[in-house]
Amino acid sequence: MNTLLFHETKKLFSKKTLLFAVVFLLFVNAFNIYRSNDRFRDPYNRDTTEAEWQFYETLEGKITAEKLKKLTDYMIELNNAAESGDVLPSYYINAEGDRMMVSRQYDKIEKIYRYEEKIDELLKENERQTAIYRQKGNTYLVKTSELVADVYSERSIDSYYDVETYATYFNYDFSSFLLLMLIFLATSSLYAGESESGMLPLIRSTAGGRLRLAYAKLASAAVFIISVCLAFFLCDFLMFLWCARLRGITNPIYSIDAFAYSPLTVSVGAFVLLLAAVKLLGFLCFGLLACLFSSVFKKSYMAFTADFVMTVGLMTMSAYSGGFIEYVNLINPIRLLTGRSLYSSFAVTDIFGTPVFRSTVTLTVSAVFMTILVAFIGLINNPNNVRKSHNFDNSKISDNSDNSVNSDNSNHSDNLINSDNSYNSDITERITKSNRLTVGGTEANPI
Amino acid sequence: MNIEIRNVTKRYGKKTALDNVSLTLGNGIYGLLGANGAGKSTLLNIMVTSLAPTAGCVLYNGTDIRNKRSGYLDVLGYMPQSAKFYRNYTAEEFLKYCAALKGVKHGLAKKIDELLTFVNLNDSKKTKIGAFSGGMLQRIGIAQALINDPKILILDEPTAGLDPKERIRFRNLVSEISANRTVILATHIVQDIEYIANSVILLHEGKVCRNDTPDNLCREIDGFVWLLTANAESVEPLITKHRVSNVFRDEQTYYLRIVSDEKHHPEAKSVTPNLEDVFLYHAGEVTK
Repeated sequence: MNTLLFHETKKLFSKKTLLFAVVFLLFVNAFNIYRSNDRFRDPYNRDTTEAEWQFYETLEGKITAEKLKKLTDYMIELNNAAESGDVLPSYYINAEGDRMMVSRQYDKIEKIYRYEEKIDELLKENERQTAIYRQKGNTYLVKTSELVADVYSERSIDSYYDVETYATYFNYDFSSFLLLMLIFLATSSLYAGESESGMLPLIRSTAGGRLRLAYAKLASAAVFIISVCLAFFLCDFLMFLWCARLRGITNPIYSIDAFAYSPLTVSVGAFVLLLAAVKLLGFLCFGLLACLFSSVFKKSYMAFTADFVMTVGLMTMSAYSGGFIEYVNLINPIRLLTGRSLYSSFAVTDIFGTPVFRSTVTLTVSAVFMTILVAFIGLINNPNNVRKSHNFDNSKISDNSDNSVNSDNSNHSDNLINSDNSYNSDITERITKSNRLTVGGTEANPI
Repeated sequence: MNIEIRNVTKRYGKKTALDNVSLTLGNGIYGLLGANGAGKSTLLNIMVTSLAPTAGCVLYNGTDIRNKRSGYLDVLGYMPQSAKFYRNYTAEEFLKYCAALKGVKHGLAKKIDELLTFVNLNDSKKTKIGAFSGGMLQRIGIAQALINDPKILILDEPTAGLDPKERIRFRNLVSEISANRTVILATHIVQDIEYIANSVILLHEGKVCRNDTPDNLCREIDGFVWLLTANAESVEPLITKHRVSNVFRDEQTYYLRIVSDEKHHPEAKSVTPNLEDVFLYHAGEVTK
């Protein structure tokens, strides 16, 4: 298995077009992040962003009374100057710009400062509702409320970092699109390519060319997917780190506005890793689906087209929620690629009267779905399981050796055609008949 | 060692590719002869377990070949029809890959060197398969089929696309490796098997219509092959009307080799049949 895995991985990585596509798309991805960042767009944006950044750096880190006083004082000073018409030395292009900048920073810090209060209010309200549910005997909602209390209690943010840049990073999906294209490019020919090169019959004529090879190919696809995903994830992170100046990796994930009510209490850094893992699972799931199409179709381009159509279908499906489609979406790998939405809010599913986080359910169902896919791909690629003979069972084979053509070289003298084949009897008759013919003339030189 | 093809039928929808084929094969070279679409590749695909029969089975030493316990795949070597193999692989890498597929581990490097020497590809050991000529591809095909030292060797149209010199070389190779082996060589080129096959199996429209030594097959149609001289004008009508196995021109005179039960022309002379005539006699159709 290891040798086969080595060869299959080597086959994948020795495709020059594929490697070129990986490198090219990495550059496209990096350029796209660079281009879409305000900091590099035009000189005006560059100057203003730099000014705000300088001011921000004086505030970031542990929230202290001294920092808050400094911010408040400067804000008052700017407001007074605006009223009196005085000119102040500014970080920004003008005093009005400074006033807006300080106001923005003030709002952000205030939001963090008030986060604990907001959560306290939420917990109080939750406590009140729990009492009502308990009164009404709704055990599921009681359990849900208890889970809310458990998740949101003891939350606080004591440091200020401009973590909103992480929100932009988490929402960045262009690399996912490129990765899907690469995965489809690599996997569409994984099985179909053997058929195209005429190797399939040879492979199937070997003991290792069935299940073992099918799984070695899956493993090699996984190696490829993990490798390119890591390369792209690293590219995304480093580019955002440089362009958007990601800060506050140690802050809790709920310090980001979009994740304020996230059930997770991990740090932003841990969430980066978690999100990468969830996305990777999604890409592996897509890879498995693409391998399935590659097994089914005899041509790589057909498998690639099917991959593309499937992706559009899944994207459309993921846009809908509620009802039956919500259950179908549990196995929709698009949900894993946009894993941030699994953790941005408190969402639970009723599993036999117990509230289970939607993210946990999605991940579990996806893992089960992927296991089924692996088994199914093995089934398709094992010729003993497909195209099965109708009366293949040995016990059903009648012993009609009289009907057979014995061609063992040892007894050629009496080996001929005993089958009740009308063609054969016709030939015998013709031969017998012809023996009666006497064809005169000398034999000519054969041509 | 014994292979028994028992009442094998293969249908694709309404089309019957193989119709109740039964054969017993021992050691030696078997030439599987038939026109395109006669069912040769279908039979071979069933024999290499790439395809399941609609009815019937193939037994190896009494056990169904699709049963893992038969150990059939461990003793099988197969060279598929016009496989391109992997362009990015060198000859050596490709043989290593095939060895991995067949579970061959011990003494692999030595075995690969021996095989490459045997098929005269030792100088191309590190050459990528994409740069191989048709003849070299066929030879690497033979080498991969032999990597597990098989007892049963199945070659599907092995000489397709080869020049005459390569074909002779290939025939010699097959002759050399046939000792203590069952070699099944499927082809529609009669010369490929005429001199090397111990037995010829003639397939026509999915049925085995003949199975015997080349000599016996030729003897069977003794008196059915005629040589007729003709002029330029009468050649075309004769070709249309009769089964002509060969036309030879000597200045203004044409010699036609006609396969027929009857002497159609008073000037026709009976000649000794060859395997090509046998093939045409059983599988050939007159283009009326």
